[in-house]
Amino acid sequence: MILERLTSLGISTLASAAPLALAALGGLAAAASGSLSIALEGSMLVGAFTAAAVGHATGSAAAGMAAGAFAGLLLSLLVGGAAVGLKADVFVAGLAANILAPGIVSVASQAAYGTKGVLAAEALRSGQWEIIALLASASLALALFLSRSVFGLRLRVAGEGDEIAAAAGIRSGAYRLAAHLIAGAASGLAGAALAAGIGAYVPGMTSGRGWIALVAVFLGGRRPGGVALACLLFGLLFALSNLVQGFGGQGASSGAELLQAVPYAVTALALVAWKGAERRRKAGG
Amino acid sequence: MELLSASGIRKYYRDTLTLANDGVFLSLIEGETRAVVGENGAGKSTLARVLAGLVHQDSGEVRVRGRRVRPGSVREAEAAGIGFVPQSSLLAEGLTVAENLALGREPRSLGLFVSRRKAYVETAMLVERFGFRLDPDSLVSSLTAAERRHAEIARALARGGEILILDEPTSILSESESAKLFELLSRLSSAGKAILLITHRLSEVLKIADSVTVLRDGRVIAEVPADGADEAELSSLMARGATRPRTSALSLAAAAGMGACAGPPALEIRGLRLAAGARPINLSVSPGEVLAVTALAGNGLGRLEDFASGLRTPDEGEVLVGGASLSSIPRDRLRSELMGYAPADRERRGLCLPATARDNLLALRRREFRARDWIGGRRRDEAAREAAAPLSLEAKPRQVAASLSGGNRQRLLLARELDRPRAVLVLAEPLQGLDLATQAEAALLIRELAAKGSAVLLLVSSIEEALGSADRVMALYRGETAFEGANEGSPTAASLLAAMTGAVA
Repeated sequence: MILERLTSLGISTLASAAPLALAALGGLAAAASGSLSIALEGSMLVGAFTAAAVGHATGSAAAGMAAGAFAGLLLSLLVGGAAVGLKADVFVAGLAANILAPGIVSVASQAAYGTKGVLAAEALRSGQWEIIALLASASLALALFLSRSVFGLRLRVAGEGDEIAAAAGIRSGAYRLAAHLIAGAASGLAGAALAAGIGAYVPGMTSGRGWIALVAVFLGGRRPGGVALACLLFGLLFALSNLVQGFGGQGASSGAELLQAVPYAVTALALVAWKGAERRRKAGG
Repeated sequence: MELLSASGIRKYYRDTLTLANDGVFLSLIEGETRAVVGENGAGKSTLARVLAGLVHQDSGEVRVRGRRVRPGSVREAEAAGIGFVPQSSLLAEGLTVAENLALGREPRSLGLFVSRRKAYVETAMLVERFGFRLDPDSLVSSLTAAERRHAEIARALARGGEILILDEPTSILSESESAKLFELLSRLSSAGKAILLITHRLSEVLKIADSVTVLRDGRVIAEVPADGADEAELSSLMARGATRPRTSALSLAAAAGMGACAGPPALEIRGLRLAAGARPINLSVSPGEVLAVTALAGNGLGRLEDFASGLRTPDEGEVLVGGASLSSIPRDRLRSELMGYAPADRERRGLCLPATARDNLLALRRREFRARDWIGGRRRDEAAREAAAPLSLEAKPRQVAASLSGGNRQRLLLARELDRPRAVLVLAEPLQGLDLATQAEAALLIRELAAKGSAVLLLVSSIEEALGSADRVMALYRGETAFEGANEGSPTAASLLAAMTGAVA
């Protein structure tokens, strides 16, 4: 009985952590290039919607997932283009994209399906293990690419500053834009996976996971391994809150609501703690 | 055969309204080591940056082996064999030495990945061949200033540099480190590399250079062979005003001093351990007194700076300012009223580079300029101009600090810290990057402040600077006091050096 509970908790943790990890590694690419991927949340949302729409239209789960990643990339092209090309403030541009994303989605949904609500796409629905495997391998490939490839090395140099990059003959802007695109595609795919898990798009279904992924980037010390660990921690918190919700019953309901808030509370605390630690580090060094 | 030639180089900076280079010419033949000397603002750094492709000149051309190099392109300059070693390090901090050297031409495995083994081997071979003191696997962020300089030179060589341009290579190095660097440069020269040394330390370069180009106000004033060149004559050529005092700036300043006043110490350090296992040190500085502490790199001078400035609180021992523990004094009050502090790490600690010269100058006077004065930009400009005047800082109030040359940044820092007599002045390498005339001005200013009652703690790696301007001298060796005494002719440069190197304990 207990063993069963633990196993299901473990699986549930993995299922929650996998999309976070992929989005967070995308965010890590941007952070490593010296930029900030505020738009992870927006990219996840358009990724989820596009995956459902394309999955529904084509009847192919694979096409839906690919379209989701591409939609995330397009949104990040806006942010990256504004921030790198037009030298806009990356924070403001990212926030704008996050506000824009649900707007685009509901307009598109209204125009195409006559509803702003749930969009079912049975064809997109995939098995839990399939999704975890896809996300985990994409995460691993991305982590390897960032830490070991020639491209990843140069990306990190771009993150050290324009002058340092220029001295090494590296055009930092191009790498920063590429990093934004990577972040967009990764979080778009992560969003698509959310939709594939339930075979539908539900408005607001990302519910802040993009922000949590962004926090995981910093909580994980901007290293792929640390980021993955942070995502597992958040995954565990999500799984625990789902578990308690599952118990049902009158008495448990207020507890479950509290537990649901835990991942978000931890996110807020982590941000504060990280900021404080950074300030101390700067003052000391 | 002529390797490098530059002709008619002209560069005007619109934002600072300065004509940095005005028809500069230069030539370098194979195996030659040429020094380019001049005061701060003479246009040396601009010339170096033009040659390296970091700055796009308005007119004039650079040729390597007769072929024109496209202006403003680092890649083209590198492809032509020009390697640039900048004044402040441009290595990527988060990468290893080997990775930094490989950047741009990374050895690959599987077409996509960086082959760390090949990168290591390539760097190790280079290190071996020229006798660098570097571990290819160490992270740049863990390197000392001297190691960084070596890594920068190694990088220039790794990128196929046949012509090395070094901008103020010894500016942050101690004497022994400088000597090692020059040994390395002579090895490179005998291996056939052509070297261009940009510096204002004339005496240093005359030993290793073959020829000297003197710049003044963006123009070439003289070109002479180094052999038999007269140092005094060259430095008078460098000087903008012919009548400025220039016989040993520091001894002049010392002559103006009055010697130590008696009185309780304004700054006192008791039982402070600078290195694990080292005997703790004690020191005190009275109002009106200048104590110079000197040490070779890595012997505790940096640690002492951290503790004396209060940026680090000692676990063992104490630091007292006016009898009160330094850590108990609110930072804000300490810096605005009690302590002037010029850090050795000017860029990271001393200045806020993205801020304007004005805001840097007035950073310690926030109370005078409250929020309601936000309209009073002009009042601040005026105050900044006043503060800048004593050190003849050439900066507009609203110019960002990052756009200033190294020498002007140092003036900016000193102008802020030396604007009034504070109880304690902690000055680490205060003369770094300054030309001779400004060194004299700054040394005089420090003396004046001491005469008005400041207790001055000078932390300098140059023996000459320590002996030239202090009432008392102290030398550290491995974090322990190796010498301490009045500066009355008894500690000579030689005896002090002996103490600093542990020859006499």
